[in-house]
Amino acid sequence: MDKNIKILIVDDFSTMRRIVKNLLHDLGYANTTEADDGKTAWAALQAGQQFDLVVTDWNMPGMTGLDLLKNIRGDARLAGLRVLMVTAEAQRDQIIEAAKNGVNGYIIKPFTAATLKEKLDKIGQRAVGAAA
Amino acid sequence: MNSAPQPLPERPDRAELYAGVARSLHQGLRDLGLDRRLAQVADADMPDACQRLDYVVKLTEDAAHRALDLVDEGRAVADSLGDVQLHLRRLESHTPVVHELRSAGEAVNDAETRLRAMLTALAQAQEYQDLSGQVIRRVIGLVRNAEGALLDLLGSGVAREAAPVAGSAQDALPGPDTTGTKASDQDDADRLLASLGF
Repeated sequence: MDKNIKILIVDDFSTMRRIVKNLLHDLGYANTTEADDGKTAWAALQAGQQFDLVVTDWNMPGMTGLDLLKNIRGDARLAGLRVLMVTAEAQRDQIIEAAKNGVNGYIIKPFTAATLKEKLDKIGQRAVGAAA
Repeated sequence: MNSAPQPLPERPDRAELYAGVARSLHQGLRDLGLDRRLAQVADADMPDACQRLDYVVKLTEDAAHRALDLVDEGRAVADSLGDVQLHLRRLESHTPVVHELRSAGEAVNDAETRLRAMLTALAQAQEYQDLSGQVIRRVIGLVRNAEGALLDLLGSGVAREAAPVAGSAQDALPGPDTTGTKASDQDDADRLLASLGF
């Protein structure tokens, strides 16, 4: 995936935001912004801030990651925005629900830098495929 | 056998029924001397337990941030090792001991690579704080709910806002799997998504 893409990291735990940011930087993605829950993230997206990828937790106060995903998919202006869920929610029906709502990738916590890289590469490949 | 069916007793009002049960339960607790103990549990012990759990979350959060600060500092050290390699390369044309200089450069390069891998692993290891924090917050929510229910039962409880830490949408989520039985791991998730055409 293009290393210059703009990434929005959404998690209510400040430590996890920092870890994701850290690992993304390791992988060469340095253009990141953080939001501490779905509501804040949604406000940033609605305010017209441009992002290429949202990396979001699911379980958050205010607005969950799933609701954020639904909002994004319901907004035509954000049609090209890719969403990677990074969450401790690991039940089968939850994964299916996220998929049905148009998630682009699903990572279960705790995760490794290698998993993060693999999912980002996969999302990048598919985006290229879709554009071709 | 052929006796006429007994007429059903008149259905008492549900609220009245519950109030009656609560009264006799309360009286029973009092007779057993349990009411004071339970009041102590609800009024003091449970809030105290929640406070201690909050403290644990805070402590692990601070520790994880401290570790991540050190990761950032370590990155700066790794960057300076990169600079050292550049300097060594520049010196190559000014020295008769090129071979030694090159192997020193390789050693520094190797150290830098290993250091960066360690820092990545160190940052990754801090994920425990998010997962343990989620579990502890959930337990705090459970304790608060039990506290509210107990106070209601004991009659001392003007159902205080049982201030659950999590919103309702959040409460419904299973969260981190602590049993190691029900949840999917990353491979399961990948297979499931692949079967759905991902």
